[in-house]
Amino acid sequence: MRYRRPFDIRQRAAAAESYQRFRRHIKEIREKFPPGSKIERSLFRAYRAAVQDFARELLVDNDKVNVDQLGELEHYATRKAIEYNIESTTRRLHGTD
Amino acid sequence: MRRAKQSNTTSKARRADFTVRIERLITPELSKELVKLLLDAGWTLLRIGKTIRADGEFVKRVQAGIQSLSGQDLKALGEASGVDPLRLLFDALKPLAAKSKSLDLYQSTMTLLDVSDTYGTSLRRQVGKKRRAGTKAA
Repeated sequence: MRYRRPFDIRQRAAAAESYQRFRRHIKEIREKFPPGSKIERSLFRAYRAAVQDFARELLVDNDKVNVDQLGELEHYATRKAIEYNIESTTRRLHGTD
Repeated sequence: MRRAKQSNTTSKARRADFTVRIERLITPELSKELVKLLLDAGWTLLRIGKTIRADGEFVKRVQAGIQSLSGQDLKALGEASGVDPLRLLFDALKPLAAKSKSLDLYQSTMTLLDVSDTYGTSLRRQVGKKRRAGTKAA
């Protein structure tokens, strides 16, 4: 896992950077590639929820951050982002909603 | 960050509720691109067939975009190449993203993967690597 104890300022900076990337990605999806099917909507919701949980883990002090949970959330959110990308591209390729 | 102060029970429940099977994401076009990517990375049709335990005809049909790989096939290819099966699909997606005019989304997702340790290993990094003299494809 990318995050480990002791969770320090460098890891927090890395996690914050990840969070910013997720936010930018979500914004881009919402503005340019919005969900166009039921499965995309579900994937997008799950993705956003995971990113929110990821941010929530970072609200506590460094010594209280659950590094395993933080890593799992980052992994899960990334997975949802990939799944959304594949699903959205396939739908656009076939021109179906 | 204001929304992050809400209770996380609901979102955790939502996450648990929604999982998509990888089979759902595989299409004949994506399978075709994946075979092409593997060939570019130095694999042979024979090696692909052996890895997924399929005959040459099946692999050729996949290569032609007529038939699709299964989730099990993808898992076997992932294990053999050392790349996560989902990442394999994502790597194969690039030409399709260009065709469907969603290359921006692809590149934006790629920036997320740059920092991820699990999905960081890409088959595209193996593309173009030369095999040492005297070694054979498995």
